[in-house]
Amino acid sequence: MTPTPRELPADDDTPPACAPTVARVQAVLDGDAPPDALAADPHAAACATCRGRTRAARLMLAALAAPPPADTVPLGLTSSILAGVRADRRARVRRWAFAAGGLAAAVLVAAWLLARTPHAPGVALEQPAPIPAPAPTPPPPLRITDEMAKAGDALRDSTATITGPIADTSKLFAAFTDAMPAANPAPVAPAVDPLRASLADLPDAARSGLEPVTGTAQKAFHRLLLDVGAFQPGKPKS
Amino acid sequence: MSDAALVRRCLSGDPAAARELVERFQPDVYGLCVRLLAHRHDAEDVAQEVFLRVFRSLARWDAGRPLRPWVLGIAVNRCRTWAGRRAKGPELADYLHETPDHRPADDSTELARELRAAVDDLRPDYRTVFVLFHERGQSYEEIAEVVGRPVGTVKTWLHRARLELLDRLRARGFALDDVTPAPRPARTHPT
Repeated sequence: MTPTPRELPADDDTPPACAPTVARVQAVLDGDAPPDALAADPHAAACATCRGRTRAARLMLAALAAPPPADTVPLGLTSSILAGVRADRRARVRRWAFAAGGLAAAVLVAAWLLARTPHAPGVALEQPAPIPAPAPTPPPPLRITDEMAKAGDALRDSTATITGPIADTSKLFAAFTDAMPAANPAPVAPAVDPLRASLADLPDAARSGLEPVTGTAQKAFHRLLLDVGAFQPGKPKS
Repeated sequence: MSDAALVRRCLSGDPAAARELVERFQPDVYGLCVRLLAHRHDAEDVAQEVFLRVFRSLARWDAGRPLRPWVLGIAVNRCRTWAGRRAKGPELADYLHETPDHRPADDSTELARELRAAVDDLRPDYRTVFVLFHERGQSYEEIAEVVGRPVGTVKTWLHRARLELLDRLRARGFALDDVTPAPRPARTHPT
């Protein structure tokens, strides 16, 4: 009987000439072909490897046909297995019981703790967190150009006549200081020398070189600008 | 009693059914463990572990599939795990590895011993399919169920395992003379 041809594995490295023999050996070992099929292989007569494999296959068939060494089940294994199964079942039941008991205890403790709170049985009320007051915004930093512009505006808007007496310059200076930012901790006025109340208070040199009132006003303004320029505001907080 | 009915009785807590299930599959499980582990004491431990897992997951068994490959699949997996764990541990003494063969020594015994040693030296996948097919009488389809691989893979593994064994027998000088092979017994596929 000729065994049905079978495919060898795709990555089998059997030479093509030997493939039919190897397939026949596999068929016999599978029980799909009788052992006599091994003897009717012409290729095996010419190929030493296939001849050896064919003989080895017949030996393997003979060895496999003999009853295998009895792997008798040891005495008591069945009882041991059943005892182990029962113990395992009890242990699992115990684990489940412990887990369920622990869960129940946790629930009871949680309920007891909730009952002890003053707002029981509801959820404890919490005081709303106070809304923090907005932080006071620091005063904007002083900029000399802005201050000079303000001073110029104050001078322009001043109602004092520019040809007024020199004593009126204190009012003019007051108008300037009013225009200064209120947050300024260091007032400008104390840093300025007190103005002279009259021409008599001026030194002789100043009196001798006294110019018309218009020039005095310009000098006063120039003095003001110098004072303002010398003013050093505090460092703004960054 | 069918496997499905036996499982139903086991799940209902019938101790007699549990015993019957163990007795029905114990020879296959134990024999397979002995062959895959080559160690009887280890095989006993693993067989016990196998049945623990069988009973733990019996409710998940698909009644539409055969029970034996499912049980043997658990056995193969446990043997693989056990062998891997054993390989990481200290080496056992040689005499503990032996599975004694008390049959008288003659040519056939020597051949059988050589074949058995050659099978033991196969890589685990090949050894598993060879043992299941040639020693436990499982079909390709059942082996595929057991090892969780396609039938084609099982055929390839068995093909290579046989060639390795034949070449080893040739190399050991067992294939020098012709012998008359004994008729191969009809294969029985237990359900």
